[in-house]
Amino acid sequence: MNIEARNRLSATFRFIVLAIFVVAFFLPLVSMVVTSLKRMDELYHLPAKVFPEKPVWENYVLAWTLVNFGKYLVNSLILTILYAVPAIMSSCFAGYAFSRFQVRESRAFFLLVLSTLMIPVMVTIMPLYMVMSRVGFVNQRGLWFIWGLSGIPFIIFLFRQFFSTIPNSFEESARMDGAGRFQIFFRIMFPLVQTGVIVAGIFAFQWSWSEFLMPVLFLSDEKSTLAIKIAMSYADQKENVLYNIGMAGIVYYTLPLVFIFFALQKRFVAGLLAGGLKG
Amino acid sequence: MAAITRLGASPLERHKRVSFYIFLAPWLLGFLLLQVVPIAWGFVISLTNRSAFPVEIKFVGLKNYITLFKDTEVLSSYWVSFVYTVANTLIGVVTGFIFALLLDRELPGRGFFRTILYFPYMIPLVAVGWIFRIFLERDTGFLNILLVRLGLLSTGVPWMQQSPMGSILLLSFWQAGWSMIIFLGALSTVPRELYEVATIDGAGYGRRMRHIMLPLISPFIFFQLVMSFIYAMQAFIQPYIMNPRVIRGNWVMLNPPPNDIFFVMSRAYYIISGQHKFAYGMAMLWVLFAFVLVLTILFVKFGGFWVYTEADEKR
Amino acid sequence: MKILRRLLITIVLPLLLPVMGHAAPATVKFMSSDADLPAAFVEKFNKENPDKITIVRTEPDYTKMIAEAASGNASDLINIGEGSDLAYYVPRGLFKDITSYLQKSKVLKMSDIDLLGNVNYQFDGKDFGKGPWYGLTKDYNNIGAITYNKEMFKAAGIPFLSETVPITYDEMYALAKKLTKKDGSGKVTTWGYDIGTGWWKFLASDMAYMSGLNVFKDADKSIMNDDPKMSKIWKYFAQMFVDGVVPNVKNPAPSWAGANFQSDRVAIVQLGYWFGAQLRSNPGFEKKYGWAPTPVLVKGGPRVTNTLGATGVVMYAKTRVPDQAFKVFEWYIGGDYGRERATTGWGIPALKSLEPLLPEANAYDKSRKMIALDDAKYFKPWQTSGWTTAPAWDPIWTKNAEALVKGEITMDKFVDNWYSGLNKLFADGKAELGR
Repeated sequence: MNIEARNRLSATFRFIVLAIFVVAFFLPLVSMVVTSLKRMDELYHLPAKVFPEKPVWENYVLAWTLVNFGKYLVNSLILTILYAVPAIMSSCFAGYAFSRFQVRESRAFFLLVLSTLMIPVMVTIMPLYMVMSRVGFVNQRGLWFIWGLSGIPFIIFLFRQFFSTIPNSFEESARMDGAGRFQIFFRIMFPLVQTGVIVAGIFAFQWSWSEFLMPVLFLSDEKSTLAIKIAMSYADQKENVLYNIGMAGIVYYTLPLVFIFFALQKRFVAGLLAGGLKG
Repeated sequence: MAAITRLGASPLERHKRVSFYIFLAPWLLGFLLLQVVPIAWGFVISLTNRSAFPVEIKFVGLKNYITLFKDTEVLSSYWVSFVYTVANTLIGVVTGFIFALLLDRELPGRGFFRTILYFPYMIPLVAVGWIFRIFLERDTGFLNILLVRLGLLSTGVPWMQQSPMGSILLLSFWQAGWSMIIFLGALSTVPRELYEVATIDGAGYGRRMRHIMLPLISPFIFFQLVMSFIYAMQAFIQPYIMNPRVIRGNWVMLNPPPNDIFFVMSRAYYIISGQHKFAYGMAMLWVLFAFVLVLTILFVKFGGFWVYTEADEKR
Repeated sequence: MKILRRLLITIVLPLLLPVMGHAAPATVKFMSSDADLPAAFVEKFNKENPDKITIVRTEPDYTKMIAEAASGNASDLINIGEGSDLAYYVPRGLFKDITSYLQKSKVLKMSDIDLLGNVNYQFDGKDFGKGPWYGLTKDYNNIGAITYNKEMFKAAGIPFLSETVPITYDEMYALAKKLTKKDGSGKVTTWGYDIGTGWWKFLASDMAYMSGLNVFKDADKSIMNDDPKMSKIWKYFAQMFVDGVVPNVKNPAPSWAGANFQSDRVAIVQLGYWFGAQLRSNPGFEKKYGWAPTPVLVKGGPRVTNTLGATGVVMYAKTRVPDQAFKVFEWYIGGDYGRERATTGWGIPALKSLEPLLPEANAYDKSRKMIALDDAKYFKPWQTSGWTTAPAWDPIWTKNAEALVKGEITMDKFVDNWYSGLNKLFADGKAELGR
């Protein structure tokens, strides 16, 4: 068997395996969409039906109007950007520092970064809330910026890995040419870790998009986010969970993430290839 | 040169140090403000009898910690979290790795597959809970209807009640996309030429994997294992959103789940918010922190032996 | 501690000042769910902006309330699930005595307050219905009232229930058993009976009153009464789990009692007047659902029902804007929103003057109203202990009921665990106050 034929066979095999997984992964999503089109009294009724008698598109209207979706969408976006930008930059800086400027105490600091990862969120968030509310700094979006500064440990880790794969000679020559540290960083190093930035960006976005404890603790309804709405608000007067409308809301809620992933996918792949070519 | 370096006073060394702190500064600021300060305060609280409504605050030393080690329910939470962590880490890393292997090379519809397999990870957990609650329902859940129609089951099974941990682990499987992405990134760093050369030399798939791919991506596997361990130990919201008990609208977080899925963080949250034992909850979290810290340090130390670049770097 | 805190403030404050916004002087933070404080009403209020007050709604989150309370910064108005929890919160200094405000108020007149329904909002540190006022219920209900599915009764050949003469709890049990349906595999598909999670404790308190018993052993209400007669009452409900008459861990229902009932999966529920408003969304509700008063223990014996403490609104003790908060409070209880709630029949209003607004256009609304007002004559506050909150009782019940259904423990052990679990909670509560 020649290589070509073998490759084709392997591709077919992989295709089939993946297709099975994709179908399995799709099931909950199908369930989500189907549920979003049901009437409330169809949900638990026996005999159970897979598909609604008649799709109730109105659920999608209600999902938007019932919780003033637009407002919370904007809120979520603001917070996400406010968080993601400093989080990416701060993490990238730190990752750079750890990979390139190894001084005696670097390792200790790196362990410190790692250890922050192991601090249960709640250990910080409850006392933080008490400190902050004492000084009156609650219900302020600025907090998300400071939160971003504290970086995401795993992305620092990631950036350190990315920077480590770049040969030292790149900066050496720039330094010989008399470039300053920020010049070196922004002109040479930063563009080389675009893959990292995109990955970090996707994760940072996703994190603050779905963050639950922070907004629930720090923000009032006016500034609250979609995550809170999705987790708590698709209920009627007496707290019956409105699964049908809720599922429609979840469809809306996940769309921005899907769009971002699709939009960045090309650059994502390009970044990966660039990283690969470098060897 | 060597002598100067030892003294640590070379201009190069100084430049390095200054650069190090400059680039670390934003993180340090955030770290101090949002972590050191509250954590220290939290620790101080754990040494008191503080409850949510401070009536008479006293310093009680390690009393909370001692009580904690006698509290069988709390101890069982540590165990449950640990079991979950091991299972979750294995499921996530293995699934993610397999997906990445399947998707690494040219394939029709590769982008589509990648997106769909990653997609579930992008759905925030709070939403996933709702999706699965209805998906796994005994009589009207999509899964049971399907399995019964296909003749695989004679009657619907109450999955969440029968196997609460299994239902939560189903999420780990469904959300393995993030592992997949990391591994895809890792695999793309492996130079194609190495494979080609090896193939020409007659190395089969298994050997290429063992001798070229695995060593090269070992830092990523290590990274994934450590991360997954740390995050899973801190899993918090899953038991609440996949609570097999009846829940109502806004009250998701008020209903404690059964003991066999009551993770440490989830229980600490409940102890703090539901039982108002602030100091005790803090002590519980501090023990978790110490546990994870020690295990991770051991892991990192041990991991250094087989991680390729890590070992290389130390030279 | 103090030094540390001061240090923190001196470090953190200067850093944060530049980014700090200035809150409007008359912002009233109101912690409540969307459902209990609809955005449309808040917007309307804020637009009209009486006395330059702006309402900001905060999510009802216990962790948050606790953190806020601990730092002296909780929401100005707080919607508490059960008014009876005042017995827990008041000694901890959480809520404000608003008696003087109520005495001066022109909207909420003391003489207009329905004392029966609001009994849990007046608390002297030991007993309800005496001493200072801390808030008012938004509305209240006879939670023991029966709602049943007439179609299921008809199908099972059971005559409809009387709207004036209560049935006994034993009769109800027999009906529930008869109405429980299983499919070929032995799986329960329709349950005879269901109520809100943890509502057993409210009904058990009624039953204790009816047989002259006390839920607690001591005057301090810190030890459960383990008298066999009292245990029998708890076992009544536990047996329902064992028999599978209510959804249990082996035969779980898709949702909570109300939603199951609305999906024709439960035949009888005890939820109360408000549930009638909820059922309006079901087609044909007037014909389909029937009403009956809260059951009794003995035919013709004493009647007792309760309000589960009634959901209501209280004011935070350290609020910085008490005057404005009270204005909002007045609007909430007696203004547009209170009126709206009364006209849709979501509960018996806190004010007697609003009672005539309750709907009675059709036979369905008439009968549920009649039953509610009749039941209301027999209200007694449920026997609660101030050493813990009402929601804290439920996990103990649920956990042990699961073990009981799975056969891991016996019925006697179940009751023992129930008592000892609660006694421990009460002891913790005492320790918290240093007693």
